[in-house]
Amino acid sequence: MLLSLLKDKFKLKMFLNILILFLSLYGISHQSWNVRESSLFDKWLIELIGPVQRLSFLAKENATGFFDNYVWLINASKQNDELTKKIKEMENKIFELKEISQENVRLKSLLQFGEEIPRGKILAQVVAWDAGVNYKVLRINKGANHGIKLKSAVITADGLVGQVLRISNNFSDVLTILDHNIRVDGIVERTRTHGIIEGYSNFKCVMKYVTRTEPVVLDDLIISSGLGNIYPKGIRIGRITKIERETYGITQFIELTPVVDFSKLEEVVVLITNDNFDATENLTVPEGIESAVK
Amino acid sequence: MRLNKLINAFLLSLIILIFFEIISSAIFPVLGIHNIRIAANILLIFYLSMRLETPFISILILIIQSIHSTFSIEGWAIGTFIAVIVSSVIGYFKGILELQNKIFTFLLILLFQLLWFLIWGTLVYLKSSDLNYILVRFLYFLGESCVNALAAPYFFAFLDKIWKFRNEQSEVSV
Repeated sequence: MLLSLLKDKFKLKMFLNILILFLSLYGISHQSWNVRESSLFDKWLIELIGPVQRLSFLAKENATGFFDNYVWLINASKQNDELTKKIKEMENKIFELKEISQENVRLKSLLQFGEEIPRGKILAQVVAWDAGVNYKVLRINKGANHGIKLKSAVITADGLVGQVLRISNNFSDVLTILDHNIRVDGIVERTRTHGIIEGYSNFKCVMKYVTRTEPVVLDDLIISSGLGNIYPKGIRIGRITKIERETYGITQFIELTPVVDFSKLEEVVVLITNDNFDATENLTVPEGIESAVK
Repeated sequence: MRLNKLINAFLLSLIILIFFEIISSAIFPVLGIHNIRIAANILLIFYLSMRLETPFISILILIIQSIHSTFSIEGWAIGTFIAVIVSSVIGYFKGILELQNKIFTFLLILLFQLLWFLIWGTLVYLKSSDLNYILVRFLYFLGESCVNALAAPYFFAFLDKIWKFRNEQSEVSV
């Protein structure tokens, strides 16, 4: 039977087509959007291609750096004076904030609040985006060798970016909140209303399962709820930019614009939970990143 | 075509695929183009399905999609499933497909991309039951598919040189 199959090209083609169709159906049914295991071939190819992908981002950085540092120097001394003034003001503010922070620590221990989950912070650069237009995934230049784990939350100083979906030794793929396959439990900061955030299209997200009676309004801030233990509680996600309430139905349509400007995203911070991770080893986190975590 | 020549031509095609995947994933975002990608994997599959007469086409598709999956989180499975179906459809109409005319190639690629999107949309709908999302994606698909269809005649002409395809020969048989 096998011989006749090999001799008849049409039959062989049909056999292989059906075999591959079933194989791919099996693959589709076992595809996970929480964690993506990389095969050895995947890892090898990502490691090979990653540096080439990174080159284009480095070229852009150098080009913009050249223009910013050498070409656009008009009014530099005037700006310098203004910035010196601002630094003095900021130094005063930092002193005030330090006092408040110390007071906060004292009050927290007084109220016996649980300690926050210790998370290490790893700074990474974006080296590429997904090659498919339907998927909003970005590739960063840090991987398993740097301590990154699957499902680690990824943020910037502005807010939430997404979670790590696939890792190789030196690169990781991050499923962003713009992707249709992500689910983030969020709350409206003002009303404490819960909902599930999903990617929608054109750099927008939607908040699902919010009942029609919830009094959410435009420009309300959405933050992460901390449920699921992937994203820390209180990370800014986005602001409501569109609400559609029909006279029928249970829920309302809520569209939000992420606070992170994904079109200009160059650097991200990966938050990793590991008892053995020494957070003090990674102090290269840009200033202001703490402000993303309220 | 002898097997070693087929392997050489296929390997060269894969290098071109990787080159276009790098452009799509790294260069386009740097230039601020986020909603359009050159779907080189789809074009290559269309080309092989139209030009190549081999029972191993589904295996070639699987290899192409496996390479594409390192650049896209879509994975190998969904693309392979769609591609094998589209390739079988192309196989039925192979005799009447004419790729020498640029306008006809443009329309043909547009049509097969539409079929690709319909199957993709059906699979996504079965999984998420979100028709709204698919309709929104369709609007973006229109723009992207036009770009791919416009690039197709030039892409195919380039692949013709790799596969040593001659005008008098309608397809390469393995």
